[in-house]
Amino acid sequence: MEEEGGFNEKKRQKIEIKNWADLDEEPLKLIIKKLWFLDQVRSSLVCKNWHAKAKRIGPSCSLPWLFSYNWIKKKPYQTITLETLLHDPFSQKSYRVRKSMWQSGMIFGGDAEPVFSKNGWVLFVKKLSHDTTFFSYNPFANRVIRLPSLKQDIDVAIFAGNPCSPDCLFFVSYRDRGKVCIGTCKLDDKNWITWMVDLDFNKRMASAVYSEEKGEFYCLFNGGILASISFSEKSSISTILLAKCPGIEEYQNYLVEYDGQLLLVVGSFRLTVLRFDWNQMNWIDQDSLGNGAIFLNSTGFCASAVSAVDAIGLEDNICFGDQRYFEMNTRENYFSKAHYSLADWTFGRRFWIQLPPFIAN
Amino acid sequence: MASKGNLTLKSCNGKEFIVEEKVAVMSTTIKNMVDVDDSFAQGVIPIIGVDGKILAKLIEYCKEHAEADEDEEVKSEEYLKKFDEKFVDELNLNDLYDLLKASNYLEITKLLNLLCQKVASMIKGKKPEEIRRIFNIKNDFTPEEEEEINRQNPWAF
Repeated sequence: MEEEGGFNEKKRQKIEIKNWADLDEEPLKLIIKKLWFLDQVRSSLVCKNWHAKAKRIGPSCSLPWLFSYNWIKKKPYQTITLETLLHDPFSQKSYRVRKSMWQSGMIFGGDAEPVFSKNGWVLFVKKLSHDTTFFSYNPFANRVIRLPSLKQDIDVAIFAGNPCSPDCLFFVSYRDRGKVCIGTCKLDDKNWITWMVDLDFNKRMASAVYSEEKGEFYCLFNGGILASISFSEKSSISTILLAKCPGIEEYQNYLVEYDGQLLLVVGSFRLTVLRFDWNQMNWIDQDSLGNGAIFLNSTGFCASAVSAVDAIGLEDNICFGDQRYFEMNTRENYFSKAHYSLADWTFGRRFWIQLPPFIAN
Repeated sequence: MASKGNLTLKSCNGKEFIVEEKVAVMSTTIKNMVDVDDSFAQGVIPIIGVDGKILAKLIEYCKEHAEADEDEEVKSEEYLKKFDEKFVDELNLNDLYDLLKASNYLEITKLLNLLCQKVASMIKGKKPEEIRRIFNIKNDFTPEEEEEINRQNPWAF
């Protein structure tokens, strides 16, 4: 072995090795374009020159991708596989990704459903008879992160940040003995931390959104109650009641953060978009998103609010993963395959998924 | 001096190749030179920055493809596919690099695509560290930059 290594060393010294770091822009871009997403990101991390050039290849605007999934269960070995299909609206290509749900000698997660997605990660929840189990999955990296389970039934589950980062905070809401409770946990935590919310009602939380700018969770409860929740260090939770607007429908509410504004999309067919006015502390009608669009998922969370989609004709649209678009100006729904022309629409349920942060920036 | 219908290409280290015009104009760069300036068609076309070994490879590729374009029966699609496969498989890393550069400069689109596809297949499924090893690339990120990148893209590793 040693001799062989020595020979190679000599040989290497003789031949001048080309500097691939300096590869011309055109071939480098062409190469990276031929790779699929994760390989694109990885090759951009090779050296400074590749990084600088790969960065310019990213999508012209950050439209979410479509994500659909199927659970595949095989007897007799009792294997469970999460099969997902990712659809890229820019290349109109679909990618199939499979993840075997197997960890420490146990299968897990089968039949779990997505309840939230952000930064390329999807939070899956599965309700069992005595507890609720969670995991987050990133189909771009094909990576699963398991979370501790919880005894209660949850109303809302979201996360703030990137699930593989120790800063990420998972946030769930449930009701326990007549009280609204918040559960939080971080990466590698063994248990959820329970927080009693200091609010004098026992209502179901309908929707929640995390504002990175303000570092607060905004939560809408049934009965049109809006509250902000924030955590200071490890020891305390602070809850502020912001507004009570009993007129807001109880179902199909989506809190959305868009362009620094707190929006609420109400309804399922003819939608109403409201904007929270921080001076009046009240919701007011919003009839335009400027040049942006909102992407909603049917299980009740906003996947993405995207600005600058006027170039592709999606401005003022509220988009669903089943080809349905609601146009705010005309207040009409229409169906279109123009932006997402999936070859196989029958493959599982569809959700929006944001690209992981790298390419999106 | 090349006879009619032939062009003379001269590599940067002075080697001359007489090739049929249809072969040479697979390169858009050469085609433009010949179209714009008739003297190139008569005299010698210098191929800057491409040595004789690489130029010979380029000509070998263009010859097969130009003949196939002319007569599909002689050189079928399947034949070309096999030829392409063998062509890229036999390249060492340095030749691959030089051919990429040369086919980009000479705008031989088909070849450039083929070579990029080859490089892409070498990158596929590899981590940045492995890609660096394959292509002998030095990691020139500072430890701080690398930490920042790892923080932003922890899922990529």
